[in-house]
Parts: sequence; C-alpha cells; structure tokens
Amino acid sequence: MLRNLIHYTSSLKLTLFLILYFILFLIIVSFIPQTGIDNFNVNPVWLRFVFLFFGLHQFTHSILFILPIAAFILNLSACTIKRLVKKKKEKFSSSGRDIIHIGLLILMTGGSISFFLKHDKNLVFSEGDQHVLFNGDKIGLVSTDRLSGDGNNTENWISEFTITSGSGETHHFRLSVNNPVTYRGISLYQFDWQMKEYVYLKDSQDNIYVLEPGERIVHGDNQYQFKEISTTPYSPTYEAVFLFSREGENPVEIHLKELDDISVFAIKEIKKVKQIKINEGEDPGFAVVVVSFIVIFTGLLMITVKKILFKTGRN
Amino acid sequence: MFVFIVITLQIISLTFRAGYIIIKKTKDPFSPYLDLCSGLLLLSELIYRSILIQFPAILNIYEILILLLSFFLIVLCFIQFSKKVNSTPYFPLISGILVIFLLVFTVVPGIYRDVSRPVPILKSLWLILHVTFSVIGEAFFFLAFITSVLLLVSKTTNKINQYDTLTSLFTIAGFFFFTTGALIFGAIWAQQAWGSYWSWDPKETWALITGLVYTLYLHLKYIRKVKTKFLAFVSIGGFIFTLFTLFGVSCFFKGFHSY
Repeated sequence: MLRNLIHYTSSLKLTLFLILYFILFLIIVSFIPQTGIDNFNVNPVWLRFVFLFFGLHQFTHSILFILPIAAFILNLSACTIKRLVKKKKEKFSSSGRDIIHIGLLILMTGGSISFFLKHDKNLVFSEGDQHVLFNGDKIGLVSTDRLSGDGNNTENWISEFTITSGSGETHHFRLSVNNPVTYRGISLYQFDWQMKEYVYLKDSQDNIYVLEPGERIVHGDNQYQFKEISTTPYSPTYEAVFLFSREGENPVEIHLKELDDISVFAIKEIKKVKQIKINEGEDPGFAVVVVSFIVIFTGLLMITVKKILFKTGRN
Repeated sequence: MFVFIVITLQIISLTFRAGYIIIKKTKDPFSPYLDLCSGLLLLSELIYRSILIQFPAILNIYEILILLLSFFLIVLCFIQFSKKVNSTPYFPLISGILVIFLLVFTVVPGIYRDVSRPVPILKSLWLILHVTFSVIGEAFFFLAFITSVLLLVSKTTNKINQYDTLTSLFTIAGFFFFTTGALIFGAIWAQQAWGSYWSWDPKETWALITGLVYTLYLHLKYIRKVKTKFLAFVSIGGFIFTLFTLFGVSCFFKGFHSY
C-alpha cells in the first residue's frame, strides 16, 4: 500500500499539473488587490463575491493556495524518496537534481514554520515613547530625524533607540533605511516617518480635545475645520490654520495662535511631532530557509557545471 | 556616448554576417571580435557611470538594459568562438538584429538615462549580487529565446537538434543565474532590508512565475522528454514572462520595487 501511495503521489503528471496551476494562479492573483475584507473594492459586485468566497483577497490563506501547496509538498517528498530509494551507486556529480529537491523540501519546511509561527506587529512612536517587545523588553525612541538631500519622496531616516531588558540592562540601537536591527531574534524595521500635527483645545471646564488635520468642531451654524500648522514669518511660533464656514457660505481661512479663542474653546497648544512606525517581527523559519538556499544553490551549480562544461556540443 | 559607437559596430557586424551568409553560406570570422568589443564598450559605459556616482551603476532600466546587452554580446562572442558549441550562422545574425533594436530603444527620447546616485534603500552589496546574477540569467534566457525561434522556423532535423541543444544549455545556465540572483539573493536582501524574506511583492511574484515556467521547461525536457517544438514554445513563453518581470511589473503594479 505504501508503494502504491508513493507511486501515485510521485507522479510526474501531478508535478507538471501543479507547476502549471501555480503559474496560472499566481498570474491571476497578482492582479487582485491583497487587502483586508473592508478595503476590498472590486467591481462588478459578482466578481467581488467570487474573490471573497475563494479568499483571493488574501490568497496565501485561501484554500486554492493551501491545498495545492500541500499537494506539492507531498508530490515533492514522494519524488525525492522514490529517486533516492531507486538510485543505484551513481557518481556524486549526477545527484544535482536530488539535492535541489531536498533543498526545496527544506524550503517548504522553513516556509511552513514562517507561515505558522511568524508574528509581527506595527509600533507607532513619537520621541520619548516606549513600547513592550514580544520578549517583554522595553523599547523606547530617543530621537529620530528625516535626512534631506535625496529628494522629498525618498525614504531616508535615522532613529536612535534604547532597549531595556528585564534585568535593567540597556542597549542602544540605530535604525536607518536598509539597515534594520535584529535583537535577540526579533527584527525591527522602520517603514514610515512623518510629522504629525496636533491642535490641543481646552473648554471652560478645562477638558482637553485633540484635533488632527481634517477634523472639525461644529457650534451652531459655525464650523471650524483644522487644516494644517504653518510657521509665522520672521518668528518660530506655530499658527494653526482653520477653515471657518457658516452654513451656506464659502469657507474662509483663519490663522490662530496659542491662547486664541475658537468657538467655545481656547487653543492650549499647537504641536508638530515626529512620528515613526516600526514593524517588530519574529520569524523562526528564516534560518531554515537560508539552509535551503545553500542546498538549492549547490544542486543548481552541480547541474549547471555538469551540463555546460561536460556535455556542451552533444545532443 | 559608448552606446552610439556600439550601435555602429553592430551595424557593421550585421553587414558582415548577412554578407557571408548570402555569399559563402557560413559564419563570418570578424563579427565575434566586434561583439566582444561592443560588450566591453557597454561594460565600460557602466564602469564610467559607476565612477561618477561612486556606486555600481545598475540602478535604472537603462543601466540594467546596458548590463544585459553587454553580457549577451560577450557570451555571444564566446559561443561563436567555441568549437564545442555547434551553431548555425543564422543564430548570430538574428541575435545581432535584436541587439541593434534594443540598443536603439535605449537612445530614444523618453528613456531615463541620467546618472543619479542611489536612493538609500539601494545602498547595499546585495544590490550588486541580486541585479548582476538576475541580469546574467535574463541574458541567457534571451539567447534561449532566439534559438527557440530559430528552431521553430528550421526545417531539417539536424538544425532542429542543434537549436534544441543550444536552447537547453542556455536555459540551464539562465535558470542557475536567475534563480540564484532573483530569488535567492533577492530573498536574503529583502530580509536584511525589509525584515521579511518574501512579501509576495509583485516583482517577487512575477520572478517566481518566470522561475516556474523554466522549471516546467526543464521537467518537460529532461524527464518527460516532450517534442522539441512544444518545448520551444515554452521557452518563448518563459522569455515573455522574463520581459514582463523586468519591465512590465514596474508599469502595472506598485510595490517594494517601485523607486
């Protein structure tokens, strides 16, 4: 029974079918937005329903991906076992294919470990903020700067961090573009930098309200929408720019400083804050994947050298 | 500036090739040297640009195309010199025509050719390994594409077998370099730069699709032993995917590879 199982699962037709299936499947899903269900805007509606039904909006979790991958792993394992069992004492140089297959199995193992065990989360920091990492250590942002000179749209920043372990030991790190930090198996990668603008309002009972750009306050027929923060000419102080409008009238821009009144509020503080986003990730599968790359590379090199150097010119 | 010299050399080479085929029905002895000069001149252009920016100049489509063509011409030269590789005179002739077409494409208005420093995300040793190996692989796929086309138009069994042998050799070499460069080195660099070795980024996905097409070719060729003409179509399809991965993905999709 085991022999029949290996015979059918090691079928070359199954291999070719799976390769063709993944080629077509990946072409199709590369055109489908991979977003959460709430942001999945595809028209017409019936097409959206079909994509969501089959889970193609997150295709790596879709049954149309997971089942064929499982079949591929089974097929690859059976082929590899069959070849190794049947293999007579051949020269080492002819084992390139088997080495690649073994490498692919190691890759599938590493990929599966990553799929099931990798976890990550995004952390948002302003200068001075602290968060707790997966391992319980505390990470705090000391300073961050966006470097100029490479164009407005180019990612270019440096952030200084401290990580304090449970025993009180403090380590200093620097994150920059293309240089993430690995700390005790956790990778920290900065993917965003921005200046956040806030206006703090205070009412007559000293309650504090925070407005971000685009947010508004409404009082009767009057509406105040916070637009942005600007710097006054010849002065370092900030001004908050609001769009004031009454019902039926066009909005008018007004510039307000701290302590100015706006509707029933007073402006307590106008603030620009540097804010960064970091991805904290832990992936135990990567080490296994690196081993698989070495094995696959070895197998490819053996086949290439044998075919190109020793069989060139023969049909 | 070297590109215009190379276009001139290739036109001269094409004239020799065509002349020898028409008059003597053989390969001409001069074109391999012109191909070698052309390849080295294109490499010199890249070295010059690299010196200007103090970083390997393989940062935009223009430079990648120049790198691809330089490898292509150098390999083409060695193939023509090689006594082990048996090819007909039509192979370098068609290769020369396509090279001139691509070289002209690099000088048309609209192509970004400025020498510019790398953005911070590209300042890594892995860029050199990832891009160089991938481009060498794509150059071999280009050669396999040409021999596949010649196989389809050949009528004699002898020529079909010659082109089939060449196609499989080029595909194997291309598969080694492309898999190593695009997939392996690319994944290692992604882990180092982005904290994740595989993110299903459009460029990554289409590189994988290209690799799968050539995996299909190799399985069909060496295990299933299907007909050579069918294999030629698979090889041509693989090169179309290679071109889409290289040029089309950046046009249609946004992802980590958009700079």
